[in-house]
Amino acid sequence: MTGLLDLAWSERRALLAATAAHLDLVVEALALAVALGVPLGILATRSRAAERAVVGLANVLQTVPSLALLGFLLSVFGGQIGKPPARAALVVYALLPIIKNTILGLRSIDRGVAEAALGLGMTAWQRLTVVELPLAVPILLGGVRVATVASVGMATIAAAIGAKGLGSYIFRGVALADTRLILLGSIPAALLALACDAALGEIERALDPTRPRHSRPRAALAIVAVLGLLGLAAWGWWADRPAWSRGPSIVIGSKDGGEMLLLGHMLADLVEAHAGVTVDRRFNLGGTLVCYNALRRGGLDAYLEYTGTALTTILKEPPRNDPAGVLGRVREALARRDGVACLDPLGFENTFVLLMRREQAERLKVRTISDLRRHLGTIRPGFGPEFMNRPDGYPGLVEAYGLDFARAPREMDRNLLYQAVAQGSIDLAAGDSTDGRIVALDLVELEDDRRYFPPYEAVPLVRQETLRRHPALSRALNRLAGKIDARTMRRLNHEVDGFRRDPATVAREFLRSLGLL
Amino acid sequence: MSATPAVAWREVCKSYPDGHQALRGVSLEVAAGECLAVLGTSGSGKTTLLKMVNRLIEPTSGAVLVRDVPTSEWEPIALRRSIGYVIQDAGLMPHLDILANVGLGLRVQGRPRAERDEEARERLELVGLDPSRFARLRPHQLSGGQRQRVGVARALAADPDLILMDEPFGALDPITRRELQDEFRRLQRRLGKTVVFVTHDIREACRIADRLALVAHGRLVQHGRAVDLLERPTHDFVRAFFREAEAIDAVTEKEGP
Ligand SMILES: Nc1ncnc2c1ncn2[C@@H]1O[C@H](COP(=O)(O)OP(=O)(O)O)[C@@H](O)[C@H]1O
Ligand SMILES: [Mg+2]
Repeated sequence: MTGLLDLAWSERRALLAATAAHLDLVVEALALAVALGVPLGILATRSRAAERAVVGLANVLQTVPSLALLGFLLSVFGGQIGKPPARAALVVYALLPIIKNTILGLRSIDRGVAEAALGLGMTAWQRLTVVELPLAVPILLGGVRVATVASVGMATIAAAIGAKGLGSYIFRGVALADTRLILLGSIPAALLALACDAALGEIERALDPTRPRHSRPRAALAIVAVLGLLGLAAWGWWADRPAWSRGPSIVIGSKDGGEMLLLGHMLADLVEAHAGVTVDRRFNLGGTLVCYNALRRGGLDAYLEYTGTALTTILKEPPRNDPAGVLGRVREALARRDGVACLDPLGFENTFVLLMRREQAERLKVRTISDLRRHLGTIRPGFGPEFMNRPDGYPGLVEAYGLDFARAPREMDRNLLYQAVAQGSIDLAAGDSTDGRIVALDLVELEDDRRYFPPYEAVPLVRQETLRRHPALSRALNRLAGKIDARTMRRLNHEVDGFRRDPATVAREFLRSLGLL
Repeated sequence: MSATPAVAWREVCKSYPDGHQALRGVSLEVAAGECLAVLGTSGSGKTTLLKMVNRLIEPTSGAVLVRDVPTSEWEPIALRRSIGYVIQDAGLMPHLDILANVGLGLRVQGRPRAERDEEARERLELVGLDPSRFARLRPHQLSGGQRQRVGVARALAADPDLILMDEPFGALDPITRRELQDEFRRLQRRLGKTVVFVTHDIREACRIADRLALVAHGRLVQHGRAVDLLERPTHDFVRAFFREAEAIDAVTEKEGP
């Protein structure tokens, strides 16, 4: 717990900024949702057909899974990451409660009041603005309140597409398996939800004509609280205002996971130090396709990718075993197809490796993957879901080496595998060749004697257009080329995953030690 | 009747979409400055008859004339603005204070604030409410009788020559009701407004109206002065109505009010 408080204290500025950005996202989305939802709600009360259409649409939108919606909006927004698609997603989810409560509010107006309004000779517009809407406001605000609280939670997911906010702590915490970071994001998010709920509750009460007014101190407190929240949101907006109001800058992204965060920070630090360009860091994005689509369409200027992933996931070609051939193929195809430049590899290869306890491997005299064939009856394997399903994972491995394990592999979370082998609950696991836990837990890596696993080199991918705009960029990024071997990468990963150190700090220290900063 | 009637129903029929025949050929006139009570049991068609005057309901056949012009030729908004309308639970706007409620009709006609506040204060005095005490209160802070007075003040605000009232005092306790009936009668006499007053209470009708029109099952059964109906009832139904009232009066006289 003290660890959490220390971390919170050292992160206080960034945490406040993230809270402000989070609130800004929610406030903007809610404002749009009200501007859209209230007229739709009004429209729905004019005819049955309109109501069926409007409520039906809002209901359908509500059921779209959030990640699917984010993915869809990414392509709608032309690969732009960050606030615009995230805001749109929040609007989509906020619409239903706002529309429903607008309808409910307008329908719940006392019949005598409605009839008196007609009898006074009000026009339809006068009835709406003078009577119906003001009377619907308390119920309508109830809908806004529900939508706001839900949006505060939803906005954390928006970190997957690079929206700033508290979700980035949560995602980083998940990527680094660090509970403190998860709490650092979720506790302020929960407090924010409570604060918004209370503030809107006060407004709701103040606008309800039949409820008694508050005492002065309480009313004053409520006004201060509402203004404070709006001020925080305004600050969040100002800090993240569109790029036209700032100097030359580029956006560097990263996929999720400790290694990607480390390398992302290194690339960004090098650019800022040597290319004279400020960097907007959008890290921990939700996967290869989010990053690559954003890069292709201009939402990102650069991120780090593995050549093998580029070959299989982006180009959808079968895995190959010669690193130089893969690099050449990826470089040529990405440049031609998408205008994306593939810079020079950083040095290490990231590939799947099979891991065993050192003591057991020595006792059984297993050095290579082929050696496993002598122990098929006794070895207890365990693999992650991705490895089990990728064609260049388990299915191909069984075929390439004729490994017919007597016991079916246990499928478990990738992050738990290392501990599981080390503690002896399984005997064999597939891991990442650069994972720091290989060193920390003293596991041995079996030699891939038939060269089955395709070697994946790490390369910065950059938009060619960005390289043209910033001529110093490719030299700055290539300063890291060939500088990181697999042992170094493992050590750095261990600093982050094992010792829970901040990836940004570890990255900076490493660059300094190489004299690159 | 020689002068043009303020309101006239001519052979009016009304069938609701569900097929129910609420009015079956009613012809009736109200003279200018007269107070007519439309009397009948619940469901007899009184409200339907009344709402045709300000076009809240359209007749299926026949015609309603207001100031000698068929309502079908009136622009509904203009027609309603020229007629005061008072309903049972007053229908005050809960989000507006009393002054704003009384001045609401003037507001929707685009009259400036100062002017409508001035008029509203005057109308509040007229219905016996002290503006300095009530102007800034909300409807929920008033008693039922006070709310109904506000409803009357609102109907009078734009100074219409015709006022429609649909069981305005129906939900009040007997003593308050009696008080309002008497005050309203005096007010009506003083201002000379034409009033169509719907009620199911024959004593209220007798107390307030110059003439009574008795409605049953969508038909006009008899109309005329109260004494005419009492002395020369054309229908058992009319007799029954009076007997009922006498019975109640007899009880209240014996037991005290
Ligand atoms: N909108 C409507 N649709 C169908 N039937 C209605 C409607 N309004 C009134 N009625 C029916 O018409 C009859 C007369 O209604 P109304 O004029 O309100 O009676 P009253 O005011 O005398 O109680 C009643 O039987 C009532 O149920
Ligand atoms: Mg009625």
